Amino acid sequence: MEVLLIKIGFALLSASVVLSFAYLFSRNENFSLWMWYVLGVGIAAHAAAFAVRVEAFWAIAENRYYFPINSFFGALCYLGWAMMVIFWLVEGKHRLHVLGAFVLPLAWISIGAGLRYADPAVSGLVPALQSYWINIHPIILMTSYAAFANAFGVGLALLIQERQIKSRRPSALCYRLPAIEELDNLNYRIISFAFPVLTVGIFMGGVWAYNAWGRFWGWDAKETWALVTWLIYVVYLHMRLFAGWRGRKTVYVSMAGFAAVVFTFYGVNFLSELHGYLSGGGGIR
Amino acid sequence: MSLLRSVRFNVYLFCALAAAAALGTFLPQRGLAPQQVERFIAAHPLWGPALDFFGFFHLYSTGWFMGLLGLMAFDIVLCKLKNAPPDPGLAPLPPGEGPDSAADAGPEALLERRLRAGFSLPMSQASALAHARAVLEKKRYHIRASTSGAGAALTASKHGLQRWGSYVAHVSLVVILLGALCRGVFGFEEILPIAEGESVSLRRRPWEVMVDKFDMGYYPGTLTPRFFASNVRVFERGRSFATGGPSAASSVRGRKIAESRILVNAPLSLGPLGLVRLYQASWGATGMFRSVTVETAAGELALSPKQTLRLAQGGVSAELFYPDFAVAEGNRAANRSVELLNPAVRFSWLRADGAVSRFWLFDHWPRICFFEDEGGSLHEAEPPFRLKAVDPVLFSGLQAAYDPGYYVVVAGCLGLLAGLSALFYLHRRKLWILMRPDPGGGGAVSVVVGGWSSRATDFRREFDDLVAAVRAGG
Amino acid sequence: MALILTGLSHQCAELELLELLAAAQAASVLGKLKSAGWERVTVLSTCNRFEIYAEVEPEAAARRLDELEAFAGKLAGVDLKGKLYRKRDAQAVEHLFAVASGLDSMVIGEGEILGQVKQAYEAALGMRLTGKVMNVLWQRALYVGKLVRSQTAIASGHTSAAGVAVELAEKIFGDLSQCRVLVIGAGAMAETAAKYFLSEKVAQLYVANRTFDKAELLAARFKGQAVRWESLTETVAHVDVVLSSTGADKAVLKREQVEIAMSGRQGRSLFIIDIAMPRDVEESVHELEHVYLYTLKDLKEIVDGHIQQRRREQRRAEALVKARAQEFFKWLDASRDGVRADLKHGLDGAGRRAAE
Repeated sequence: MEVLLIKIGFALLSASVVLSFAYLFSRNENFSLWMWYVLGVGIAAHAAAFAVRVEAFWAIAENRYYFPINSFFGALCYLGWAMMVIFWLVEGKHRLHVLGAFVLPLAWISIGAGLRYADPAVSGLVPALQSYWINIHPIILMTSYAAFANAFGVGLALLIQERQIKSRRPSALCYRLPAIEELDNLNYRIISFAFPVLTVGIFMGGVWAYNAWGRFWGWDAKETWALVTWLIYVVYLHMRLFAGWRGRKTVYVSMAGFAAVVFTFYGVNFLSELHGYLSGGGGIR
Repeated sequence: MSLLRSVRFNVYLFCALAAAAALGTFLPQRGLAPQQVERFIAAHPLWGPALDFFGFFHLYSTGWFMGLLGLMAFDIVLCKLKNAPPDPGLAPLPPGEGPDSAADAGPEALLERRLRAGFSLPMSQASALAHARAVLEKKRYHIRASTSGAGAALTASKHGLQRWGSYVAHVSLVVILLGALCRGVFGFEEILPIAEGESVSLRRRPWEVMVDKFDMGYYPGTLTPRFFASNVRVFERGRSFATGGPSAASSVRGRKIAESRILVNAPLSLGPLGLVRLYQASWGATGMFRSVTVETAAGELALSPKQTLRLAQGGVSAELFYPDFAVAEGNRAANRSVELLNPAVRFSWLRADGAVSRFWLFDHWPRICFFEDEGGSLHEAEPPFRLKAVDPVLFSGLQAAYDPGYYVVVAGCLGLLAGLSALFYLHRRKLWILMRPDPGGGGAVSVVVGGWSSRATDFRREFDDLVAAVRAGG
Repeated sequence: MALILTGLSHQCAELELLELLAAAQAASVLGKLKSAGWERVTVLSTCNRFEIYAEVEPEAAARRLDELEAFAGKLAGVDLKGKLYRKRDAQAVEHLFAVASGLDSMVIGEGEILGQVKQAYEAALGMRLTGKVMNVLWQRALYVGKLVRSQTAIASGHTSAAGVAVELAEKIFGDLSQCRVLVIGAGAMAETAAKYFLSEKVAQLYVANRTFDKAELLAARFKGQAVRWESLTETVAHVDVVLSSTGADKAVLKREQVEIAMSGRQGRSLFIIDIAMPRDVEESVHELEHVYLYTLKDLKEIVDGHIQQRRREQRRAEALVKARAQEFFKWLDASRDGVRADLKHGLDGAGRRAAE
């Protein structure tokens, strides 16, 4: 049932992605409206799927009352859902629906990868995860990852727009995309929102580790890469705020930050035994 | 000195830290996987030892890595020491664009700003001032007004706390690093594998930890652990104790300090301030067993380690237990780990004719049986009977850790979060209003408004609305 | 009931004739026509076009056209025999719809003509010179004009260099109301350029010219601020958009100057529009980071691109116009035969427009 709901949500998300590209390349406002509503329904479908998953999860006594986020499937679905919600809120507030073509594909990849490669089975939490911290630490971190994904999409649009205008031969795409300063500002705003959230997430992870493993910070792969991500965004913020840089160079740094986010979320599972999704319960097919 | 304070240098420093930290995740580290390190060095005879020499296999505790962290702390202190708080440290804005008090500079300077308006209100200066004040106070601005011979000046600001964000965040980072230093210098971690019923002394504290009972369980039908916990009592170490390391039990115990059941996310706090904590980190099989249960033609029988079972074919006794059996190179029996992944028992069979054969039976694989010959090689055969169950002696993997800097680090983190929230979530804005009686006379007042915001583009609409509200008073 | 039309447009060879005719105000022409006994007539008079539309008896159509030709000749003071084009019935309807859609304009798809068509109709309506058929015809023409512009790309993309420049500035800065603009030069070109940017309500306008007085004059006209020539680099650092159109032979804004200006700008973009011939700004300035230098040539190329795009849409627009004209004429036929029919609006027929 849950997988069915997620598949429905995924189909709706795919439709939104198609509509967002259609809106990008045509001028028909209807595409934008439809994309918006379809996306909204998709978000609702995923939320419903989550509710079903929670019910199945809590059927196992040890899992009460925690979020079902201990497996790749759960994590990827939450990540994609958070990306959609953040897009809906942020780009909705600024009326930048045209950025859907840059952000929604990332959500699509996230949930698509979950459906294709991850095992949707609900499993029992290993003892290390049986703590109220599981409702706090992973969710906060993944919300910041979703925001960084949004920023990545915005940064990509910025690079394209900047190249368009610098070329002195702007194509029709240039007139569809928002202004350079607007995109740069939005990129900064999203990152400056997500950065404290990332910091909170890392901090919560440390406190949890202190209570579970005896040390606040152990330099294991996942912790270290979260710090690397944090440092790269620190570089971005210093460049922007303290050195007053803007434009391409800062976007490259923010994209490097997102690459670090992807590695932190996914890549480290191949490195870390203690922390990863591949060790102990909740794996990859 | 100014190099250390420059943003460029610090940006490179962050990159160097990030790169070094990342590198440490790709190379095996002694603290987490010592055998892997040795294997790595053996596999790369050329630069393995060289990397080892420079500390790449314990990267996070090498001098140069700590040096980078120390340099970062030092730079932060340098940068923030130079300028008095609340110094946000932001890149300097072109003159006339910043939040410095523009009211003093006069109406011409105000009109130079991007956010500005100039108009005339048909009221007296005093009432115009009061009206403007009311409008801004309704929007929860903090107001400072003054009247002089030349006219009236009003400065309205909001979220001024944002100025402090950067300073507090940076200072908090230094606090965090200091806390980490505390742990590095004064803290300790001890791994205490204690078999059920045994006890172990701590090295760094005069205590003895006894595990009365250890239980664990799997999720039904899987090998995923469901829980594991130890019932523990901690004693002060007695006068005489046997030397020989943590595994030696003491003969006289002191008084009991604590008694508790320790689970994975629920450690036991000891000592003053509860800073020494005993954690349930892991568990495993000691390799000893209390009994095995076999199923023969005669029914189910339990065997203890020294016991011989008389069967029709001869005498059988259980002599060896491997919790995680695997067939190693050379077709030999080996134990992979301490986890109960593939429990196997080796039986010794004394036949009627005096010959002794050895065979392995498996808890999870009732149909498989390996006979082991003199040289240790295995060959498969029919299992003579079935191994029903094993009751292994488990050890509880406890860990004692002392982190005196923990609360310092937590305080630093909270400060960091407060600073970052102020810096990024607050929206500092300022409005200056200068009024002068209209030179044309007639009881009107000419008003010049200037604005500044830390988020320039978002403030435009609010600024326009405020100006319109002030203007509407007329 | 026959519809006739005669007139002259910019597409004809002899533009002086057009000038003579266009000099006459539509209202006075209508007055003259009315006193000459015409009952159903409308005049469309712009600087590029002079046309008279009338509703006459079918048998008298040819004669009436001659009368109109003579009338126009009297207006212009020259003999216009054979110089005006004539259309009737279906062709006349199609022509009017095409004109309203901007398909017959100098810049294809331009929007001004729609307003001019509306004015012409309202003028005739005010003088009671329209009847039921004319009313429906002209209202329909306005509707078709709007439809073609929204359903095809005939009106997309600015076709003036200034419009393109403003649009590009918006694509760089977003909200122009917080931008500062510097105009270098104080001649006629500078003035036109200043007008465009000021109409967008920018935050502040600065004018710089070698002769300070001229700068002050221009600045005063647009409520801007004149700056001294010596502080040019400083001012460039202070503004976001620079419009340069001096008559100078050599470059007025060099790369080093712009580099100095950019270093104090915190990475904020700088948009430089160089419409001077010869160039006022060194080409190498474009290579600087965050600087976008557009010359008149670049802007014209973009305009050409837009016009090409509009031309590509022309076929579709013409097809649309033809279809609507036929639709109208069928209605006209039907109403002529006394059958009450309703003209449909929209593709799905939603919304009907009752005649009268």
